[in-house]
Amino acid sequence: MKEHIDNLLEKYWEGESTLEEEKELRFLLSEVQGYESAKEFFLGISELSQLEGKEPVKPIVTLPFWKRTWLGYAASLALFVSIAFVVFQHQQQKAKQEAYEQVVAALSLIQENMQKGSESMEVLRELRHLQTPINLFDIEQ
Amino acid sequence: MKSFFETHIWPLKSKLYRMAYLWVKDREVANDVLQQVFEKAWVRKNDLESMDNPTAWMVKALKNESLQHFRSTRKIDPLGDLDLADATKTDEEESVDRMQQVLRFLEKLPEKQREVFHLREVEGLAYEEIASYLEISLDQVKVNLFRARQQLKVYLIGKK
Repeated sequence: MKEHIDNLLEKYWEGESTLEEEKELRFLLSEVQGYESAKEFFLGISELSQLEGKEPVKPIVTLPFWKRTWLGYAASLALFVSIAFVVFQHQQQKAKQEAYEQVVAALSLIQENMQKGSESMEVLRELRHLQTPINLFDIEQ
Repeated sequence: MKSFFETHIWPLKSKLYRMAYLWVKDREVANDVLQQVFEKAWVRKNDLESMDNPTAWMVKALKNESLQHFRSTRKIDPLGDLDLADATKTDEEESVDRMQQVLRFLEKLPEKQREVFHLREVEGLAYEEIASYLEISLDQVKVNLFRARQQLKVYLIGKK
């Protein structure tokens, strides 16, 4: 194993080792006796690589003044358009309702007048009985 | 759906933290530096999305922010106060000693060698990734890593 470590170390010093070989070298060094200074140094590197800082605070979105102003205008416009739309819809609905009520009123007026006309025509219906005696007694004209 | 910032920038936070720590040698300061860089990145998130290499931009921003910290505090050699508080906090003095040893070695290296060595040994990045992080050629990565390892060999022999 010592020979293998020496080979890996040689490649390492020459800058010819791969990342995998370097990982293997560190592992083997931690397992064997000797190589104390290299072992300690690589352990220090490994500890350094695990060092973590405080989680940075995620930056808060702050818009420049002009963007905020325009966003304000856009929001106001959107609100205005929405209100205008709702009022318009309401007016439309109201106009439809009024038109319907007018039509219904007109129709009921017509019906009422028709009723009156029908009643006045009832008298004329009685006139058909004028012919009855003539037919009954078979009177020659 | 996650944004570009969340998928490409946010996952860099641990690596960037350790890089900041390597430069400023103080965990609290490294946290502050990282926070500043993430805030700057957030403001420029649309620019970052259109960049070829947003990671390199983050590394540069981190380096600039660390330098700015040194300029404002005028602290040239901050190794003296290297997290001794952590030792009492975490009760892992030996671990802190080992990390200090690594950082002291890194301090002796020229800047580029230090960065390449850190990205390879601590972050376990491939040569191509290191080249991308630091915006240097693959050959420069190999040369700097070779030189840094040669220095390490001498350093470790000297310790025996």
